[in-house]
Amino acid sequence: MSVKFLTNRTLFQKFSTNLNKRFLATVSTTSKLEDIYDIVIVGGGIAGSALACALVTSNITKLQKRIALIESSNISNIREWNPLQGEFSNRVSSLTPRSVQFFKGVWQNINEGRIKPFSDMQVWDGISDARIQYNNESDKSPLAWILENYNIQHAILKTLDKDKSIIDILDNTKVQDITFDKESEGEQFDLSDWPCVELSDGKKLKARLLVGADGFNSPVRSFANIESLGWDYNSHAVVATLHVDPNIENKTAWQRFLPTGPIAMLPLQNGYSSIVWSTTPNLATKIKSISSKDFACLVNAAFQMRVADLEYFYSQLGSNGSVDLQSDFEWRKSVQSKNSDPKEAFPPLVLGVQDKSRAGFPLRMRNAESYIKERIVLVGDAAHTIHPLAGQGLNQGLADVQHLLKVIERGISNGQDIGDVNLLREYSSERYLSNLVMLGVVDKLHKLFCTDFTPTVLVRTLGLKTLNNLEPVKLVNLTRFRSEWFYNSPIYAINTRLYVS
Amino acid sequence: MFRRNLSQIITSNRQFFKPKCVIICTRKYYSTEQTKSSISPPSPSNYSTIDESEVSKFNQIANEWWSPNGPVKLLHSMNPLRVSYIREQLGKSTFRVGDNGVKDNSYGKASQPALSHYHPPFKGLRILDIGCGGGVLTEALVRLGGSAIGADASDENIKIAQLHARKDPSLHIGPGSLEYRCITAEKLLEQGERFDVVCAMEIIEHVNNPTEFLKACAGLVKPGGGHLFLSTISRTPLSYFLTIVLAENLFKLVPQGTHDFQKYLRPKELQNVVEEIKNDDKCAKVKDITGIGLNPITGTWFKLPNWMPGSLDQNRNLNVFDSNRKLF
Repeated sequence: MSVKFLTNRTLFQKFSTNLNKRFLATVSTTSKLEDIYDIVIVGGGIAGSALACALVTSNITKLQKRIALIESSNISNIREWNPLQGEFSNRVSSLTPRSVQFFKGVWQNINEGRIKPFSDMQVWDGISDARIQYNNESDKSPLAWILENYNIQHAILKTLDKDKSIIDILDNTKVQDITFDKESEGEQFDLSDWPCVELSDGKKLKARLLVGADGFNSPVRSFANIESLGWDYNSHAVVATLHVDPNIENKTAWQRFLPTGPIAMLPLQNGYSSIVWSTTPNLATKIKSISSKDFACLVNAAFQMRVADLEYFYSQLGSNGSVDLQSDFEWRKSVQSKNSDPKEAFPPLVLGVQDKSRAGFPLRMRNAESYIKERIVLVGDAAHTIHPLAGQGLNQGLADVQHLLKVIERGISNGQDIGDVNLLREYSSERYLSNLVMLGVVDKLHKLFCTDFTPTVLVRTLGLKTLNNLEPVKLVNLTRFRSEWFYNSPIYAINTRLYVS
Repeated sequence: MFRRNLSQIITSNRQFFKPKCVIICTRKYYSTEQTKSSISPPSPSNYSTIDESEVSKFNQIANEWWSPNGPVKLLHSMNPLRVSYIREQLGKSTFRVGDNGVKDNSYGKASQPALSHYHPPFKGLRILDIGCGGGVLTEALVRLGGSAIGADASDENIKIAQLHARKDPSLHIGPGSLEYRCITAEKLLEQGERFDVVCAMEIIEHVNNPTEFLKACAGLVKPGGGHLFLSTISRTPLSYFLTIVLAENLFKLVPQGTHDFQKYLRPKELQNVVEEIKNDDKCAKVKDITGIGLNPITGTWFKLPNWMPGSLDQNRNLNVFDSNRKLF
């Protein structure tokens, strides 16, 4: 094989141009050498763009790798994201401390005024009212940060724009097809086992490593012929931005497990909260369409009323608005408060809902049967989809990205081909089981709480009360400790091995 | 030819020798003047340490060199450890650009060094991978910037390696360079080739006359401070059990007859042979011996700790840890 001694990427491009001239006849039939990339990321969502940003800023990957990020929508509106005071997108996420640590580098570009760290949390059972309270006043570190997805994406893009030289961001570009090009005789290189991504603008990108960060219906996953295992929950989530009582300090995340599914209120700012309400598809449709006054009232009822009362509210939803839900709510509330525990805390009263902020989506649980194939790797929602009740979906995706970056760096340092399945296996063995455990735990929680079967209610009530009687700080530390112990334990390694092999 | 798992590697150079299982030996010939004349081929020019039956054995499996789950799977999984060992021993373990060596899991913070500052670890080193097989190690050395020559006695292997090298443009555009030759160590020596680094990994157990082979390898190292890396399976009851009983006969991970127990060497033996090779009265010194083992659960190789002794008795010990070195 003839060997050229050139030193960097610029020269690579010169060289490839030369090659093109020399091999024009054959090369032009397939792909041009400028379209050869080391890493092609399909999907410019948070996981995809975070990976791009991580690769671009990593000392090991940034100097020698050609990276492309493909996003089907136009990202210029995210680049120029300039939110109005008092208006919030309904797509918000909670970032765990670990994810925030990972984002340290982009944090400087984030809109600080629109992040809400919270350290208080209240979770309770809709039927028995058993509660877990977590007040983290002594401890300075928040449990999680709530922020709009736009805020994260905007910050990532801003960071990415500083290093434009080594990454090609192709937005407004759809992936038409992914194929393997047949080897044609006489070409300088044999890239027949490199995935070839055909774009809507006619370009064909050859990828040493193709990263599928393209969400639930991942085209990359279908191309790789990887099955996605799991099921649909018979429920939909309704999200909205709420106007709440501005006189109450908004610093607590609230979640109530109703038999139809959990309802959660997350603080955005004083006076503003975001809601995620999982419920039956039927109810979800109604909830989305009722007047904003009735919606506010229904959210208050969902947090404060007994399940039987709430069912009465549900039954009134179809009846042409002839019933004044507001007065009904106040009356029932006054009756209920006479014989209930005065210590019981409820979220701030909802006063209204932001215009056009209500939206819904079906809930599912999915896990790809494998996260890797030769030259292909899946991250984020393309690999797994989770019920939002624990707010873990994005955090799992970011953990994927973090591990993938580490594995790629390790591969480069040892001179490995980063598309090599033996290398990628390290990523999948690190991520597969921990994602599976999280999916399983959240799924079981969902099942445990979505029932009013009395023995189950008794058991979960007992469980919640026991947990709550443990010193909260201890509890959290305990779970942290146990998860670390677990991930380092041989049992974990064995299981991982079993799942991966 | 053939790689096997690392049980011993050799280099030379310092007075002390840490007993470990993989030996690295770096030669340093202090008088450089007489190099060419003084290094004579170890044997008549038609002599070869190549074992014909071994060569044809590997011809048969040549096509499976690069199949990710093929018979050389464990060699692939061992490769990153070998490469990082070479990097470490050459003092090129760092990939950092400039001075900011702070490793941080977050991103976005790093300063932006100019592209020209990028210096791959093996840049400018002339490296020979003798017994390169399908090029598993050779390709890695080139990606790290080395000018590597992969040599193998099997024509078939060289073809496989060349075909596979076409699959990665980065091997041909630099900063490293790649060349494959169907040639033996003895012939290379005759031709007067010299290298900064010579790697003979997982091959000693497949040659006819290890002493002559090692002499040829040592002769290929540039006088005045080159390195020779050796790696082979240690000859212990455990390695017999693992590589022959388990890997070949029981689980059939590798074709029967891949290994010949009689050809295995203990680290101490290897060390003695290497340190006896003289050149201008300067002996090579074994610089480091490191054992490695396979974690059967995760399928990854790891370095055995320093306290793991490499002498005879303890070699058994070490092999207990090495337990998993099968195949090649």
